[in-house]
Amino acid sequence: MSLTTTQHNILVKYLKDVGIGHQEPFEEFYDHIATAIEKDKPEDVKKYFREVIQPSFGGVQGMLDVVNEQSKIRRIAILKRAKEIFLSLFGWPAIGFVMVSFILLQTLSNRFDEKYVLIYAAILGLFIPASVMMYGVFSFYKDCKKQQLPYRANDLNYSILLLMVIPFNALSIVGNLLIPIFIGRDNFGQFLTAYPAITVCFSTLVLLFGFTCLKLFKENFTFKLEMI
Amino acid sequence: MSSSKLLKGSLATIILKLLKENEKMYGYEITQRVKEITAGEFKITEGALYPTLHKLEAEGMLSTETQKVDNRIRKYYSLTKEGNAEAQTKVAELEEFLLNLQKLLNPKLGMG
Repeated sequence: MSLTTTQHNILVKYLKDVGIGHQEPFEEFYDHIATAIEKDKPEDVKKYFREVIQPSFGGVQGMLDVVNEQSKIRRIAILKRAKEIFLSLFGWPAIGFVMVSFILLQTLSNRFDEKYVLIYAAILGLFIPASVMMYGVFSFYKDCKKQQLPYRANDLNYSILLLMVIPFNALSIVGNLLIPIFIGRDNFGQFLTAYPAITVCFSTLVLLFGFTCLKLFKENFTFKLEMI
Repeated sequence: MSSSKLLKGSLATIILKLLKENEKMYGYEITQRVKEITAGEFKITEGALYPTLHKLEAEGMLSTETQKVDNRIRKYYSLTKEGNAEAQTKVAELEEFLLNLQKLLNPKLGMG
């Protein structure tokens, strides 16, 4: 026996009110509570939520704790996988890619200003993965909207999104805190020219980060709505 | 101490044992199965069940698959190869613990 439309609507509203907005926990809780309703056949669904469902989850906070705990586990898994991919780039045969990137950046650094090398690395290593990810988030959102689903995002995608935030935050700290304190904004250009190896190494790391993100997207990112 | 507090420490073992006996199960099914086996004496709360399931999944003990049931998505949990081995170990550990506990609580039985 399936839920009636009224029961479905009450359940969807309840989950949304609790603050469950991502696909994975929403689907899992929806199925759990819907199965319980089908079995217990309560006359008053709202009362049933209040007196049976909510206490067994440990209240609204208990439900949110379950969701947050799962997100945390997912984020740790994503970071672990990202680290594995990044380190694997220093093994054979991926080291070839690292060496080619390094030589390419070294050549660019010899021919152009260090500033352009950094811009080139930032475009390839940061902005391309960020654009792919934004496209993915939007595409998923559009799919959910088209199917009139009660959620618009996927928790796994958000875990990967947090990984992308790391380099932008790191750049912000370096640019707004470390450089002004230790080098001085005005001297930064001269510093880059004086130490081109630092620019090349930093740019190579940015490129490798970008490659890691793209590989991670390919493995885990949900671009289209599908069963999780 | 209430039975629910005692149960909490053994929850992972109970889940692993149930999944060893049943190929795959979903969250609600696990709570109902425990209730059924213990004639309602043990009640697993959802607030304890799901974090344990998610933790076991992250540790690689459980794998998941989804199926469309009654026009909604149902997530099934099943044991991985590692989970299968872990289930055996955990159940053996718990059995040994219960045996020792019995010896302590009822020495006459323990000596038999």
